[in-house]
Amino acid sequence: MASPRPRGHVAIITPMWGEDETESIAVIRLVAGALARHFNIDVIHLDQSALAPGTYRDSVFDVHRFPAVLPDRQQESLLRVALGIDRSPNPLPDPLTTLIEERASVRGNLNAFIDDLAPQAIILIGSAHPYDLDALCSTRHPRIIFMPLGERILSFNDRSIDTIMHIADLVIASDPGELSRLQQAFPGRAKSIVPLDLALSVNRAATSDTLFGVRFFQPFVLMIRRFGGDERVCRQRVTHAIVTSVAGPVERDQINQEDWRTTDEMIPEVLPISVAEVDGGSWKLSDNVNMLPLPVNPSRVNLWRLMAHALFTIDLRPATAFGREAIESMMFDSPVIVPDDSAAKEHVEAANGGLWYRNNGELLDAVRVLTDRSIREQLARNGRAYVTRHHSDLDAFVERIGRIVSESPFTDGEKETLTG
Amino acid sequence: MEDLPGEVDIDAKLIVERLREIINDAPVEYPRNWVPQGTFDELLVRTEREAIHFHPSIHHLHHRWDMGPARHNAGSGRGPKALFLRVVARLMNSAFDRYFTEEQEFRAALAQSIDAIAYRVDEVAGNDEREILDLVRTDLLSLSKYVDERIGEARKDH
Repeated sequence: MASPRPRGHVAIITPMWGEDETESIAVIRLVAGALARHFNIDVIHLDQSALAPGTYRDSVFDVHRFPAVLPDRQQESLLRVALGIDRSPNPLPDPLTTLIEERASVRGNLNAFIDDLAPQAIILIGSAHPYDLDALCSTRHPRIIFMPLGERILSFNDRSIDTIMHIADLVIASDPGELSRLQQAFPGRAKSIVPLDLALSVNRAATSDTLFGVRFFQPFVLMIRRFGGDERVCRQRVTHAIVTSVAGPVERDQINQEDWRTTDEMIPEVLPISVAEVDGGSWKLSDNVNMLPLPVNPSRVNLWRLMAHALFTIDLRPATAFGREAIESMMFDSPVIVPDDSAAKEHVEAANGGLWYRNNGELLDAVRVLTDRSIREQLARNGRAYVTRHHSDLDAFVERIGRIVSESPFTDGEKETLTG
Repeated sequence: MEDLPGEVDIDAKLIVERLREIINDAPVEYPRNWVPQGTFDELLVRTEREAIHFHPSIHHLHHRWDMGPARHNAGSGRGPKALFLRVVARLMNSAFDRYFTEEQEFRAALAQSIDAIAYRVDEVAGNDEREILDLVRTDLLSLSKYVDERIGEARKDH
C-alpha cells in the first residue's frame, strides 16, 4: 500500500479566533477547515483579551495564543519616555519592569515561534498589522498570503497595507468589491489578487418544511435585525409594521401560489404581506393585525427555513465582514435588500440578485420595487445563478484553496521585480 | 457544474440608481421621499408602555394617505363598460385635477403631521422612562456605595 503523502504545515495568523460566533471567525474557520484537508494547520491567534499565552487543540487545529500587543514601536518608546526608564536613576518596581520586558519580548517570541514552526505558507487574515511586518519582510518565508477579510475601513494607501501587499505572494479578496478595489489600488499586483469564492453548504432538505405557524402568515418578507454572534445594535428605525404597510397588500397573482400552504385551497384576491423578524434570540411573525412569537432555536437551519419561503429578505444589520446571509438568501431564490457599503452589497451587486440602500427612504423604495413579482423573480434567478457559479461547490473550493496555498503563480525572479 | 444562465434584462444597479435619481430630481423633497418614522427606541420597545407608532390606525394612515395609485389606475378591462368607465375616469381626473392635487397634498401633510406628533409622543415617553431608569440607577449606585463602605468599616473593626 502506498504511504500517505506527507502533509505540509500552514500557519494562519489572525486576531480573530475563539468561541465568538461572529461572521469573520466563521469564515476563517471555514477557510481553515478547507485547508485542513491538505495541510496541518497551526492557527496563531493574536488575542486581544488578557488570557495567558499558550497552545491548545481546537477541532483539527493547533491554536497558539499570543497576546496582541501594540505593534507600534513608537508607542513602546513613548511608554519608556513617559516612565523615565532611560534617564531615571531610581529603579522601576519589579512588576512594571517585568511588564515592559514582556511587551518587548513578545514580538521576538512570535518571530522565533514562526521560524521554529517553519510553515510551508503563512496566511495573514483580517489585519493590516498582524505582527511585526519588518520581521516578516526580513525573514525569508516560503509563501505569504494576505486575506484582508472585513477590513473595509482601511485605506489601501495605508503604509501597513502597502507593506503587506508588497511582501505577499498572493492576496485573497473575500468579495468582488474588495477584489476590484485592491486591483485598482495595486495595478502591478492585479494578477496575484484572487477571489476567495468561499463555498457555503446549505441543507435544502431541511427547508422543505416551514416553521410552525409560518403558513398562516404567507406571503411574508424576512427581516434580519440581529443574527448569530453579532450583537451589534441595529440602528435602523424600520419596523415590521412599516414594512407591512409599505409592501402590502399584494394581489394574488403577485405571489408564488405554490408557496401558499394553508389548508384552505381558496386564495383571497388580495393578501397582506407579513414580516418574519429575526432579532437575535427573538423571532416573530407579524401581519397588519397579529403577531406570533416563533419559539424556535435561533439556528442557521431555521433561518434557511424562513429564507426558503420568503418573498425576499431585508438585511438591516450593520455591514458584516463577508455577507454570508445575503449569499444564503440568494441560494434559496430569495432576493435580498442589503446595506450599501457592505460586503453583502458587493455580492448582491455582482450577482444582480437584489437591491441595496443607504437610508430608510431607499430601503422602503427597494421594498416597494420588490413587491413586483417579475422583478423579484428575475433578481432571484440572477442571484441563484451567481451563487451556483461562485459559492456552491464545496469540493471545488477545497481543491482550489489547496492549490492557492501550495502553488506560487510567480517565479522568484518575478516576485523580486514586483516587490522591488 | 452546470453554469446557470442569469437574466440579462434586469439590472439591480440601474434600479437603485434610478430610484436615487427620482428622489434627487423631485422638485420638492416632500412628500416623495417622506417615509413614516418608525419608533425604534429600544427602551420603549422593551417596556410595558405601548408606543403610539404601533397603533393600528397609524399603520392604516401610513398605507392609505397616497391617492396616486387610485388616480392613475386606468383598469385593464376591454369591454364596453370598462372603456366607458375609463373615459369617465379620465374626464373626472382632468376636470378635478387641481382639486385632487390639493387633496393629495393635504392628506400627505395630515399624515406627516400625525406621524410627527406620534413620534414626538413616543420620544417624550422614551425620555420619561430613561429619566426614571437614571433615578433608579443613581439610587442603586449610592446604595451599593453605602454597603461597600459599611463592609469596609466592619472589616476595620474586626
